[in-house]
Amino acid sequence: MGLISINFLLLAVITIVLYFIIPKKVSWVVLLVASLIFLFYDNFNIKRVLEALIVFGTSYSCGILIDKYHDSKKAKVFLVLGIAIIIGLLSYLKYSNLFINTVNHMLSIINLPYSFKLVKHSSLIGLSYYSLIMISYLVDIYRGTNKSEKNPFKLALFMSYFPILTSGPFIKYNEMKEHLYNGHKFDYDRMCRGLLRIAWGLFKILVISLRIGIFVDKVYGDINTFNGVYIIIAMLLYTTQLYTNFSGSIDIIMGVSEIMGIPLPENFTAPFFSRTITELWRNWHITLGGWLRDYIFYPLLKSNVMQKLNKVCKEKFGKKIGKKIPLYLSMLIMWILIGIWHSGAYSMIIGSGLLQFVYMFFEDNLSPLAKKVNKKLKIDSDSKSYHIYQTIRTYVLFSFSMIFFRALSVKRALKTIKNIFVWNPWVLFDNKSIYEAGLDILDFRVLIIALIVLFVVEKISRKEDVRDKLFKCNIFLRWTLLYALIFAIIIFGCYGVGYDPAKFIYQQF
Amino acid sequence: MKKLLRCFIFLTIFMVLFVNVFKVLWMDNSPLSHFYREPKNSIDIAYIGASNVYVHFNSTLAFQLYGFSTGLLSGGSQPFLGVKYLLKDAKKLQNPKLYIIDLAKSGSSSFSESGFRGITDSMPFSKNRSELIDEGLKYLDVKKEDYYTYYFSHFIYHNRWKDLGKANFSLEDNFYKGFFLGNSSVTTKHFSSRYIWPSKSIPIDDKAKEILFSLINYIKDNNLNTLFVIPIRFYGNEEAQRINTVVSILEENNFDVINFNKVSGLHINFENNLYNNDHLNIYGSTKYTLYFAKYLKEHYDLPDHRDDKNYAS
Amino acid sequence: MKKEEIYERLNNVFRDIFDDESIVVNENTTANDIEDWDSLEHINLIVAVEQEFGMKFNMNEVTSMKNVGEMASIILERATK
Repeated sequence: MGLISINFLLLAVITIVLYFIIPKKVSWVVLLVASLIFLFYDNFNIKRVLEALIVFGTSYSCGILIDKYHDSKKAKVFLVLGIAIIIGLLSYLKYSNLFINTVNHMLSIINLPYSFKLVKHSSLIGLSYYSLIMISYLVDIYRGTNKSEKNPFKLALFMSYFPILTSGPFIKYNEMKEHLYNGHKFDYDRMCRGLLRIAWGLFKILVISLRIGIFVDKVYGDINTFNGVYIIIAMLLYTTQLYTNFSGSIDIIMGVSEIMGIPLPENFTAPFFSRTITELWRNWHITLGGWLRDYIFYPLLKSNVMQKLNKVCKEKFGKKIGKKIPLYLSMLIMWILIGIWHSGAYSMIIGSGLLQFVYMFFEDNLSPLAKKVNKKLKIDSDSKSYHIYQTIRTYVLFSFSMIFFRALSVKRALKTIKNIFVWNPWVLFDNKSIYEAGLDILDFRVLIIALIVLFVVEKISRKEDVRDKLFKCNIFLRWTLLYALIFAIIIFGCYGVGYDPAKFIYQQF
Repeated sequence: MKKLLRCFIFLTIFMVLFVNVFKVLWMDNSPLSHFYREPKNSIDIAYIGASNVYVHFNSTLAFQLYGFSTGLLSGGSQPFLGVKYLLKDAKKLQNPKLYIIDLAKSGSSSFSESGFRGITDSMPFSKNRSELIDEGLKYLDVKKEDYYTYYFSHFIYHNRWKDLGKANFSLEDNFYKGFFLGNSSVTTKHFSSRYIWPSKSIPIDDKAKEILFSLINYIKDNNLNTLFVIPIRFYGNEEAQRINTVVSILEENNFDVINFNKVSGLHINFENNLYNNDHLNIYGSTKYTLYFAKYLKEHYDLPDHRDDKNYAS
Repeated sequence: MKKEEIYERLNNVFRDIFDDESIVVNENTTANDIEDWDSLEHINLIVAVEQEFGMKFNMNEVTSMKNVGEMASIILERATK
């Protein structure tokens, strides 16, 4: 069930209405039923139910057992067991084809005339998300952050809470339990805020993301015809397409949840105003970053192995470099895992993993050099223009890595990069070429205006809550802006006849 | 309470804006839409069918000659399935004296999505319209989750903002009272001889039969005065043979059918009266209109409105 | 162990980790106050503090500590040397 579909609209409306009609004490049951409908709506089959049941059963029983043996060694046994089962299932379903491909590739290198067949799996909607959420649930019990949930239905709701299953954000049990299980009273202002957030999400997706998508699909679909400048524009636009699609989905998800009085953690804070890749990742997919930091990066760095490595390196390479080595190693492992989580394709591992690591590595190591150069050339690195330069540089670097994210294979990505180096800047000036790649001049105009609106809103959002600001305006300005937003979506949105049904880039993960 | 009132006002203003914005943006200029804009009970003949209707029959010319008004309920590739529903609308809105039904598409139950939308998108919201959509969706290969796009098509056609221009604020276009002036004088000269209508017939599929009998029953139940016509043009051989089956079924049920491919008085010259295989050009259509309008005047009791001020436009 | 002593020893650890002799921490010091204190350096700091005081933070504390004051009170609770 896509977020932009009549089905989701119906489900959300019915859920919200029932949620407020039913007595507060049991209103969470409505959420559970809605969640299960959402999870299994598209293809209900035994396999998918079984997958969900395995993850659920494992987390439920291991959770209780870890709690029970809290102070003994057995707790660790059950924690490891629980994580192993969940990760095992996730890797089997998501990565067996990556593995088979790799083996086949190696076989072909050593000239063995044999290859394994790929496995077919059912749709993975939800699995990537609820697996990680349940791992965090188990680890948090082990660490004593929260107690295990004894009511299996309540735990099932935590695992499947429907808005987050398509694209996040990741939630933590101890942050969610009060909001999820205690009912809420209807609140008019909260509803307005929620609806506004949903509308803003729709604007991002329908007016911006899907419109850019037409152009990007066309260019990346035929990189021999559309090369050089076309690819550069597509590359730069794709980052915004991805961002508006992903954060727009999150806006819809959070808006729906907010109407019911269940706050979710923010996943984006205007990431493209960042001046470094490191900063960008602190503002992009924040909850995934937090998950990785809390459950992989920190434990890994703090592990005995890394600490020993730290010691050895410090002795060998001196204090400064020495302590960086384990740090980089942990970072490398984490970034590869991010790539793997996104998909089982190598291009994805490079694009959303390795390249990001490389960027950060250089950012970290070249900054002293950059400072020196700036001093020599008398460049004021605190000036506004320098900050703008840094912001643009970060955006371009990130966009470049997204070529791998977008391409379906490494080969294809490399071909795309090669085709950038075709000299054809005149397509920008001959007044028609650029409009042959799917978007005509009117579409471009709408896109540019929409991007300016997005830019302004994001800029404001860095200082204050845009919705608060809007609701403080006088009624004429406020209503004018609201009507403008609604009609912009209705008129300029890419939906309905002549457009592909809204498809979500981020949902496949 | 204050909030409720404010919410209500917000939604009211929204609806007013919405309706007006859509009036401009969604200006419907399809041939069929012209029929729905005619004043109530102003039409003497309802002429229903696919493109052959709006390309061939110049209703204005017929009016100038004989004074009867003809409403064209047609659209490109209009499926035969739609005829019954258009009859219903014509009866309700205009109650004409005669219903002319074009048989060009009667031999087959399959039809294109665009042809179907050509009817449903121009029909105003009504029970009749949603019944037609219910029925049509059985024949089309459409995903369940896209069904709503048929019922709420006006809303789905929002991308018309790109064509926004002067035309959206007025009704000037290529259609005059539903008659198409577009392909006017184009002549295709590679037809050397006229189409020879086959005498054989081959059966039509069960669904097409079902559609036909449903139409026949409706006409009989409501006692409508009808005339079935087969437009003059080229046909695929099997297409024509299937229409023969339709004709024999209609004749068994005592309906009048004119096959213009067999009529000699038309004087249509295939060498330069055709626009393409399927359509006449302006010369052909004028000849056709002259002949057919005269025929109608002679065979049916039709009023003459030429002196009536209400028909001045 | 007294609070003052803890802060003094923490000062030394911070100066060592962040290579900045001018650092003086108090209970309200947060990651925002020290330029290099990011999530990467955080763990190194934690480990160094653990070694200095012969105690362990649990993972929950590592991720939820908000300022040096919280750190100091955990140390006060369980330090062995």
